[in-house]
Amino acid sequence: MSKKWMVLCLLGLLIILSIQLGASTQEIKGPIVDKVYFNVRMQEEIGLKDTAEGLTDIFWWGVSGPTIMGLDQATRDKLDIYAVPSGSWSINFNPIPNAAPYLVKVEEKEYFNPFAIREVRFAMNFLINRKYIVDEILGGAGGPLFTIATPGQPGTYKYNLVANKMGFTPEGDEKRALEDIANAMNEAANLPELKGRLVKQGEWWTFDGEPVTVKFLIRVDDPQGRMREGEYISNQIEKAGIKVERLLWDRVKCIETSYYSDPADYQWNMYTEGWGAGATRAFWEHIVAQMHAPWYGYMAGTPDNKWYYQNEEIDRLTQKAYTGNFLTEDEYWGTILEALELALMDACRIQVVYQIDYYATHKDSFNKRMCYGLGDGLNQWSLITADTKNKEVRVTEFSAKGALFMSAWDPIGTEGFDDVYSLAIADPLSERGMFESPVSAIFTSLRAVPLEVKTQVHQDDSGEVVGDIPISPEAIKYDSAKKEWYKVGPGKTAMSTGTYQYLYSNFHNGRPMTIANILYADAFVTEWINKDGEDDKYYDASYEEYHRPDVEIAQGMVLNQDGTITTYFNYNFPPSKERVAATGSPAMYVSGRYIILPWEIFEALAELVASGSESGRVYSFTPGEGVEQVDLLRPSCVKDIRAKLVELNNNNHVPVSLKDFVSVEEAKAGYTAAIKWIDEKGHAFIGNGAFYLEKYDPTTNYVELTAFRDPTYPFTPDYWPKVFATTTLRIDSVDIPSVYVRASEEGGISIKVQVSEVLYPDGIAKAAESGEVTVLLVTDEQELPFQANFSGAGMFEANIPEEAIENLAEDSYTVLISASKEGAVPASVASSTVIY
Amino acid sequence: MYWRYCLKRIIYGLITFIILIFIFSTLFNTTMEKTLKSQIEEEIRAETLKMDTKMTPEEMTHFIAERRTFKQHLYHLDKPIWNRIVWRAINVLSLNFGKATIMKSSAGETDVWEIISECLPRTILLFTTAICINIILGLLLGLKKAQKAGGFMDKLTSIGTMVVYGMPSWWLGMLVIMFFAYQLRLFPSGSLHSIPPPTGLAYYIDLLYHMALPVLTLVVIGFWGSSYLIRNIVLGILQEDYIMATRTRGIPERKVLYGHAMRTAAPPIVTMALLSLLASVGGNIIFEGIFSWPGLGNLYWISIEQNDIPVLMGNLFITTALYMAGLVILDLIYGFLDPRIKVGGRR
Amino acid sequence: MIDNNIILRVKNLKIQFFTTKGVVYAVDDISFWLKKGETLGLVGESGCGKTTTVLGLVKMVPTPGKIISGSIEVDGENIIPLSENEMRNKVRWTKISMVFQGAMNCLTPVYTVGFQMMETLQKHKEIPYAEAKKRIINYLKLVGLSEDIIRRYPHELSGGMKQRVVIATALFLEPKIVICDEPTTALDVVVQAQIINLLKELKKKLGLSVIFITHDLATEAEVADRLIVMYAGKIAEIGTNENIYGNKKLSHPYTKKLIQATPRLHKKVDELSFIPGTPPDLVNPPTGCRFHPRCSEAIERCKKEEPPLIEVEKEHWIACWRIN
Repeated sequence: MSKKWMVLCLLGLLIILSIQLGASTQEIKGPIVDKVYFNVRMQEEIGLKDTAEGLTDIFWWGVSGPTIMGLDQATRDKLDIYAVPSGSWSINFNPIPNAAPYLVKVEEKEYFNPFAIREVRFAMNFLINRKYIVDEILGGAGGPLFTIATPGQPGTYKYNLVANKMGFTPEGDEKRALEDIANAMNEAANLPELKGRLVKQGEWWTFDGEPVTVKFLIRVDDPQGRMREGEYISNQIEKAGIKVERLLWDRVKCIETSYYSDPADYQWNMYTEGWGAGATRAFWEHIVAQMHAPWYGYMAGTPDNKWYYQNEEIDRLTQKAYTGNFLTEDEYWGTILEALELALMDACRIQVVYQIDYYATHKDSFNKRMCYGLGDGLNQWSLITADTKNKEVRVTEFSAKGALFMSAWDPIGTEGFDDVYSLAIADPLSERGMFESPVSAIFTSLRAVPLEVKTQVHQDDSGEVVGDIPISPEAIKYDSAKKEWYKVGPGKTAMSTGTYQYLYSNFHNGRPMTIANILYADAFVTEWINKDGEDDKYYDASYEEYHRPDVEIAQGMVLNQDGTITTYFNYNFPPSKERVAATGSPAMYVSGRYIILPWEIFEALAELVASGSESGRVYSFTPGEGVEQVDLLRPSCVKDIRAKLVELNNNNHVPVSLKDFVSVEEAKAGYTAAIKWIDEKGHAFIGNGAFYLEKYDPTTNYVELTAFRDPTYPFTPDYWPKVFATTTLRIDSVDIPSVYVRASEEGGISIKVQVSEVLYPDGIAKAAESGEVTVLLVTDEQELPFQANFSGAGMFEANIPEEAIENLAEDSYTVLISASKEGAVPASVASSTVIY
Repeated sequence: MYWRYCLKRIIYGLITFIILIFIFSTLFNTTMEKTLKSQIEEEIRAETLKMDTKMTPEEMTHFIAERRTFKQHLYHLDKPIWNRIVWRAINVLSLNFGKATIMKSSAGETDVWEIISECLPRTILLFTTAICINIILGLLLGLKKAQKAGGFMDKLTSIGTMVVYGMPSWWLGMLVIMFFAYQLRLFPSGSLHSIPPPTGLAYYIDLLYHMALPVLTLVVIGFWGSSYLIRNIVLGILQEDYIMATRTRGIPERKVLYGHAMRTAAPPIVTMALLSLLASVGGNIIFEGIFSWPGLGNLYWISIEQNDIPVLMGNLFITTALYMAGLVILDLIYGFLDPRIKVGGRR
Repeated sequence: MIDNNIILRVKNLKIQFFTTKGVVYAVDDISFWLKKGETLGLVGESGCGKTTTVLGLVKMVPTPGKIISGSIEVDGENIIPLSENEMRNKVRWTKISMVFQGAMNCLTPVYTVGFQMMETLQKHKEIPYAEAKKRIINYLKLVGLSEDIIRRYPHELSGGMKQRVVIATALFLEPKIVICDEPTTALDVVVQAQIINLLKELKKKLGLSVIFITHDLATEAEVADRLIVMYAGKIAEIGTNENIYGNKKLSHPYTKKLIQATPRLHKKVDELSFIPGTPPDLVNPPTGCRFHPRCSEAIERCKKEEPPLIEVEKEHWIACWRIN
C-alpha cells in the first residue's frame, strides 16, 4: 500500500517539477522593455526640457558641458546624466624644415620657424596648462589628453603610461617649458647660419631685424571653444618671446590652409584641430597611425608638395602594427608604444584635451541606469538594457532638420545607414557574430560562440608573417566567375583557424536562421567584389574598395557534421585572442554596418540592382547620377522589393550559391514570409535582433520598435546587464611631497594614494576594498617600482626608501602611480617630486 | 491695351526671375565650392577615425583617396564652374529640380521636389494661417482704432504694439512653451503630432492641438503691427475731405467706414496682405526650430549647411517665384483696386 | 421777427474749438436769418468763421469743435438738440445740403460718380433704381453734364465738371437750403463764370434758398441778394448789396477796407491797397471790438467795449461804435 503511495507521490513530484521546468522554459526572452518610440526635436534646450519634465525618457544627443551647466538646478535634478567623451582637440604643427638651421625661404625672403626645432614643439606639452583649459574653457566638461587614447576608455591605459613616463601632467610646467624653449632658441642662435640674425631683443626674439612670428590658425567658428583655446595658447607662446599672428579663420579657410596648402609656402605654423569621437575600442594602433604617421596622410604636407613631414621610423613601426606583422603580444605593444613614444617626442601633433558630452534621461522613468558605450555614449545596448517603470521607452532625437534619418537604409552599400540617427534605430534590430563590448571593447560573443581559436605563424626571411596552420582540403570558398563553391584542396596554410557554434534563432518574421544565411553572405561578398568580365552586373566598385581586404583574409570554411563551422583566415593579432576570434567568425551580414536580413531580402536587392525593377527605377548600392540607392524603408523601393520577391517566388528561384543547400520549397516559404512581412509592416527590414521595427511613419516622423519575444531568441532580459556590469578603478588623489630632502630623517618618500571603485553602468563609486597599487619612480636610466600597501578604506600607502634614491642627481622626477585589480579596468596617474 | 500691359508686365517679371535664378546659381556654386571641399575633408577624417577594417596601409591610403574622389564627384565638384552654374540654373528653371546631393525627405526620397513638398504644407499650415489671422485681426482692430483715434483703446493698443513688436518671435515662443507646455502642461512642446499619432478625425484634431502654441505666438506678435499700419492708413483717409463730404451727405457711419474708407484703403492694405501671405511661405528658421516644426525656413538653412545646392535652388525657386508672382499680380490688379492709377484698370 | 418767409434762423450761435493751445472762439455769438428764395452771401477773411458757421448749420463741426450754445431753427425747428441719427436721416441733404469748396477732393476716388450719387439718393429716398437713375440723369442735364458721367471716376473729370456733379448731388433731393462754400474758388475764371451762371439759373428755376460763402466780393455781388460780413468770429455788418456797396458813409470800417482792397478792372492801380495787420488770434481775441487793432478809425471805446449790431437803416445792421 505505502509503496503505491510512494510511487504516486514521486509521480506527483515529477509532474510538479516538470511543470516548473516547463514554466521556466517558457521564460521571457528579449529586452526588458516592450516598446520603444522615437521622435525628433529640433532644439537642444527643448529636448532637454522635455526630458526633464518627463515628456520623453531619453534625449538621444550628447550635449556639451556648457549646455548642461546652463540648465537651472531644478531641471538638472530631474535628469540622470551619462557622461561620455565626445571629441578632442589637438594642435597640428607645420614643422618645416624640421632640421637646422630651421629656415624657410618663401619667394625671396627667409623666415625662421621656431617650430622646426623639436625641443620647442615638445616644450609645448608643458607650456600648455591642459587643466586650465578643461576648467576654464570646457567648464570642467572634459579632461586633459596626452595621447589620442582617451583616458577612461578601455585599452588606453598602456598608451597613456608612455605619456605619463615622459612627465606629462595636466597642469604642465610653464617654468620648465620656457626654460626649454629659451635653451633651444639660444642653441639655434649660436648656429653659424643664424649667428647675428637670430637675436633676442628685449622680450622678443627677432630674426633679420623682424620679430619671429608664428601664424596660428584658430577656428573662429567655435567661439566658446577653440577660439578661446587659441587665444590662451597664443598668450603662452608669447611668454617665450615668440610673436603669434592669430589668424581667426573659419573652417573653410583653416582646412584649406592647413590640409591643402604646401607647407613650403609657410602659410601657417599651428592649427587648432578638433576631432569627433571614435568608437569604443580596445586597440588603438591605427589611430596612432592616423595621428602621427606620415604615410596615412594626415601630417603636414603630402608627397606631391615641395616639402612634407617625413619620419621613416614612425612609418615603419605603425605599418608593422597595422598589418599584424608581429608574433607576440609583447612585440605588438613594443612596436606600437615605441611608435607612440617617437611620435610624442617629435611632437608634430600634440593632443590637448578631450570633451565630455552628456546624455540626459528622465530619472524617474527608470528603475536603474542603462548600459552605454564608454567611448560612444548611448547605443543599442542602452535600449536593450533599459529598465523603465512602464516598460516603454520614449526616445527623443535631436535633429536640426527635423527628420529621423539622413541616409538611405541600404544594408549593402558603403553609404547606407550613414548617420547616427539611422544607426541608433537600426542597431538594436540586428545581431551579428561577435561585437565589441561597450564597456571593455573586448570582442564578445553575440551569436557566434568560438569553441576553439588557434593562431600559428612564423616570420619568413623577408620579415613577413606567414601562416602555419594547414587548411582542411574540404574547406570551401566561392568562385564568383563559375558561380559555384569549390574545395580549396590540399597544401594551403592560414594564419588562424576558429571553430564556432552559431546561435541560430528565428528572424523577426518567424523564418529560421540557418547555415544558408552564412553561406549566402560569404558568396554575396565574393560575388560583388569581383568583376567577372566586362559586363558583370553583379559588381560594385565602391563595394569592392571597401570589402576586398576582408575577403582576402578569409581562406575558407568547413561545415562540420555537428553543426559547428570551422573557418580559416589570415589574421594575426597576438594581443587579443578575442579579436582574432571575431575576425574569423562566420557572418550573415554583407556591409560594414552589420545589418542582418534573411537572404531572400539580400537576393531581392541584388536582383533589383543587377536585373532591374518593376517600376523601371535603376538601383545601385552606391549613390550616383540617375541611380537610386536601395532602401528598406522608402515606400517606392519597398514596393519594388516586394515585386521582386513575388517574381522570384513565381520563378521558383533559388540563388546560385545556395542551390545545394536550400530547396525550392524552403526558398518559396522564405519569399512568402518576406512578402507577408512587407504587407503587414510596410517596410523590408526583417532583422534578428532584440527589437523589430513595428512602424515608421514619415509624415509624422516617428518610429516604433517592439520587443522580439520569440522563444527562439537566445537572451533573457537580465542577461546583458549581468554581462556588462564592471568595475573601473579611479585614483582620486595622490599625496606626495613636492620636495624631498635626503638624509632628513624622514625615512623615505611617503606616498598616499586614494582609490575608488566605480561601478558600471550605475556610476556608483565606493572606496576600494582591495587591489594593487604600484608606484614607479622614473629616472633617466631606469624605472623603479615600489608596491603600496592597502591600509583600509581605499587608501594605499607606499614608501620609496632612502637607499633607492641616494645616488640620484638633484632633479625633478616623474612618479607614476598605477592601480589595478582583477577584473577591473586599471587607472594610472603621473605626479612628480623634487629630490634634493 | 490692358492685355498688352499685362503681357509686358508678366514678361518683365519672368526675365527678372530668370536673372535672379542665375544669380543664385552663380552665388552658391562659387562660394560653396570651398566650403564643400573643407566639409568633405572633415567628413573623411571622421569616417576613418571610426573605421574598424583590416586594410593594409596601401589600401587605406588608396581608400581615402577614393573616398575623396567619390565625394567630389557626388557634389559635382569635378565639373567646371561655368558648366555647373548654367546647368543648375537651367534645370531649376525648367522645373527639373533633380535629386538632392545628400539630403532626403522623411520618406527617403531624394527627389528635390519630394523633399520640398514635404515641408511646404507644414509651413503653409503654420505661417500662412497665422498671417491670415493676423490680417483679419489687424483689420478689425485697426479700423476700430482709426475710428476712435486717440481714444483709450487706441492708446492702450499702441503701447501694446511697441512692447510686443520688437520681441523676437523665437524668444516669445520659448516663453510660451515654458509656460503652457511645461508649467501648465496644457499643450505639447512642439512637433506636429503626438507619438504615436491618432487616426481618423482625432488625427486632425491632434494637428490643430499642436498648431495652437506656435500660431498663438505668431499672432500675438504679428497682429499689432498690421493693426497699427491699417489704423494709420485708414486714419489718413478719414481726414480726407471726401469722407467729410460723404458724411455731410448723410451717409451712415458704417458705410463711410467700411465702404468709402476701406475701399480707398484697399490698395495699400491688399498690397501688404498679399505680400505678407506670399512671404510667409518662406517660413522662419529659428521659430521652426523652437517648435520642432520642420518647414521651408528650416529646409533652407539645412540645405546651406549641408551644401546641398539642388535643394537650395529648389527652395529658393519656389519662394522667389511666389513672391515675384505676387508682385506681378499686384501690379496687374492695382489698377482695379485704385482707379486713379493709369496703368491697367478699367478704361 | 416771426416770419413765415424765414426758412433759417440762427440765434446767438457759439462754436468753440478745444485745442491743446487753448480754447479757440471760432464763432462767437452770431445771429442771422435766411429768407425763402433769397441768396445770402457770407464774406470775410480766411479764418473768420464762415465755414465753421455753415458746418455748424449741419452739425458737422469737426473735432475738437463743439457747438456751445445758441439755436439753429430750420423751418421753425431747432436742430441743435437733434441726435446724430436724426440729423443724418432728417436734416442733412434733405433739408440742408452743401456744395463744398475744393471739389477736387469731395468725391471718394474709388467709386464712380454714378455710384456715389445713387448711394446718396437711395439713402434718403426710398425709390426704385430705375427711377433714381432717371432723376440723377435729369439733374446732371440740369447742370449741363452728359449721361455717361455716371460711369466716370472722379479723377477723370475736370474741376468744373466735378463741381457741377457736386452741385447736382446737392440739389437732387430738393432740399430747402443749399449752402455753397466757396464753390468757385479753386476754379479758373472761365469755369468760374460758368458755375456762377449755372447757380443763377438754378436759383431762378428751382427757387432755392442759398447761403453763398466767398471771400471774393465781386462774385458775391453777382450772386447774392443780402450779405453778411464776418470778422474774427463775429458779424461786422449785415445788409443788402445796395446798402453795403452803395452807401459809403454807413459802412463798417472793415467792409470799407474790403471794398477798397478789391482791384477794379478799369482803374489804374499803382499799388493795391490792403488791410494792414493780420487776423487776430482767436484764442485770445482782442478786447472790445475785435477789429480795433487794425482799424484806422478806432476810438478809445472800441478798445474796451464790444459794439453790438445796430440797425442803422432798413435791413442794414452795423456793429461799430463810430457809426453809432
